[in-house]
Amino acid sequence: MSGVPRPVLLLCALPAAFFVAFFLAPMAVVLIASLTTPAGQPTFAHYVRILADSYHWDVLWVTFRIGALTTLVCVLIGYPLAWYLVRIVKWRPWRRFCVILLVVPLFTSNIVRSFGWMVLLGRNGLVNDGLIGLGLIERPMRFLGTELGILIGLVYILLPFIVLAVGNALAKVDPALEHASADLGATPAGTFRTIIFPLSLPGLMAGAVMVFMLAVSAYVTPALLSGGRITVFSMLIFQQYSSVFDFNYGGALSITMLVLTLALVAIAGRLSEPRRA
Amino acid sequence: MSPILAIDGLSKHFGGQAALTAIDLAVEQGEFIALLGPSGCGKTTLLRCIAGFLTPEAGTIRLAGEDVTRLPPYRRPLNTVFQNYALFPHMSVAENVAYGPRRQGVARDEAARRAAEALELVGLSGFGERLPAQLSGGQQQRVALARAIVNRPQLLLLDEPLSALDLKLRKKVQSELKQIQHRLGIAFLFVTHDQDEAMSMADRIVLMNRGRIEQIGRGQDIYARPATRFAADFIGDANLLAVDRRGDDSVSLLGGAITLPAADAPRGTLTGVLRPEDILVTTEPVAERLALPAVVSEIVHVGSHASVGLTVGDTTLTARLAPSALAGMSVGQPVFANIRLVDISLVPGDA
Repeated sequence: MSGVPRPVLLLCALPAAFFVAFFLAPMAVVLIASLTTPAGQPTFAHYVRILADSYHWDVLWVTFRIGALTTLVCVLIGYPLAWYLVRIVKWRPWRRFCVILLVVPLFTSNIVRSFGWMVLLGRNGLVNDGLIGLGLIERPMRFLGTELGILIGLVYILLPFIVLAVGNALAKVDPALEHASADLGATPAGTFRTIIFPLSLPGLMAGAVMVFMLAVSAYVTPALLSGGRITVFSMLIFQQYSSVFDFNYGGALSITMLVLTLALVAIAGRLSEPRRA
Repeated sequence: MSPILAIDGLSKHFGGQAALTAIDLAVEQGEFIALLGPSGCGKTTLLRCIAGFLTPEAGTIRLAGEDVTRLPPYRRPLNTVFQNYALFPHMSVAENVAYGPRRQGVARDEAARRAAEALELVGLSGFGERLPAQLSGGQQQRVALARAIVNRPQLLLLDEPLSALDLKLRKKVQSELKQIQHRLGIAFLFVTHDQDEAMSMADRIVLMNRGRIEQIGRGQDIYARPATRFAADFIGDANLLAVDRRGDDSVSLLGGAITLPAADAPRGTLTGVLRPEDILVTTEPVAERLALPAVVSEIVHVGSHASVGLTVGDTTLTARLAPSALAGMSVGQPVFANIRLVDISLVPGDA
């Protein structure tokens, strides 16, 4: 250690301190709260209460179902969109414009954008008017307060993450590899299946994991679009912290959510690993 | 025997800029052809047209008699060794090599067997399980070669395959490539900008410049009888001499010191080409040669030989001498540049 110059150590200490102060310390507070009574006695009672109550399991099921569907739809829309931007658009200004279009909403508050969807998806909103105008439906569909409505809102908000992750991976695939594949007799579809898709898979997985984590932990969008009819796990946590003021029980809910999400992501990562280590 | 590759009147433009102009070329079965030229001369563009990655505006490309000009790359019966190998990073060496047979519909076991055979041919048996990233540059180059020959194409295109290797390794791989080509009897079309590589490996050299073919022929023939000023200058070193016309059937060089018959020479302006090793530098005139009085202006040692600058009148010539012939020679010394008129070739163009 003595070989490392002091300025370098100091430079490293700054981000380390930041990490401890803003990530580790709050997590530790939540974890400790979840394992103690309000009086400060150690206990597992909060976890027992969560795991024994079937209501929590129902909410978890809804939460993870919405998260999985959001991820699936984001992948199905995002991959072709990334392909379009990276592989098909040749005119740079248009590509830049598309990327800006994709990224700019990220600068806007989730709340504003979710309110936007409330207006669009309402009984007399643009979506229903449009569908009726096209003759696809006869009376307004219910979007608000359904899982479909939440799904639409989450997909809209999280799509950029997958497009950027996949686009980045696709842009990194060396065109020479495609030439080599075609040279060896592979059709364009064969080249996609055996070369391009496997090479873009790490980017796709990274994007999908990010979307899934953000979708299951999302609060604002589900809260606004659920109309109080659907409860996701983050709402339960919010209730405990903001209405019930039971920080111990809320902490246990948070840790449960965290552990389950990480477990699912780990399983997904294991399943998608390439054949060889 | 009909040529394995026949190119007729091929032209290709990039946004109004001519990249290839009226290319005609025939490659016989089992021939080793070098496409030689400076960067930007169109040799790689020509290769990409043959492989199918570019479509020419005019002309035809025939492979074994079949017109493939408009066929996509995956339907052309040839294979390519790419400049940076383009090995598939997510596949093992064996999977890389078996890729070709698998895409042709060969069963997994048979494809693996052919891949092992090809890897043995390039001396990489036992490397099948590795990933490309775990191999050295030379080994990756061999994998790229094995992958390209596993389908036994009749024509193999090589796009500067040795440019990423260091000099020692390059020499070794050159002779190995030549042996493999000989054993397989596949025609090789080899793109390079290195004239020594082209000279030492190729049966014939196709010399290109500015999208045109300057000359096609055996290396020693191009060297001895360059067809153009560019050919003379690019292949080996050359003294390029200004030529004055004297009527229709004779010319003079070096300000009138030399007169040559020129009845057979091309019309228009001409340049005289004299190789440095064809100039004998001595302190006394040599019999049966034309002895031009000269002054030594420069001596540069290049290991196996020395390059000597000579001032003859107002022209500077370069001569190549063995180190032993340099004994007692110094800059500023008056000497004789002894030449033979038959060693001077006349090519079209300005010096």
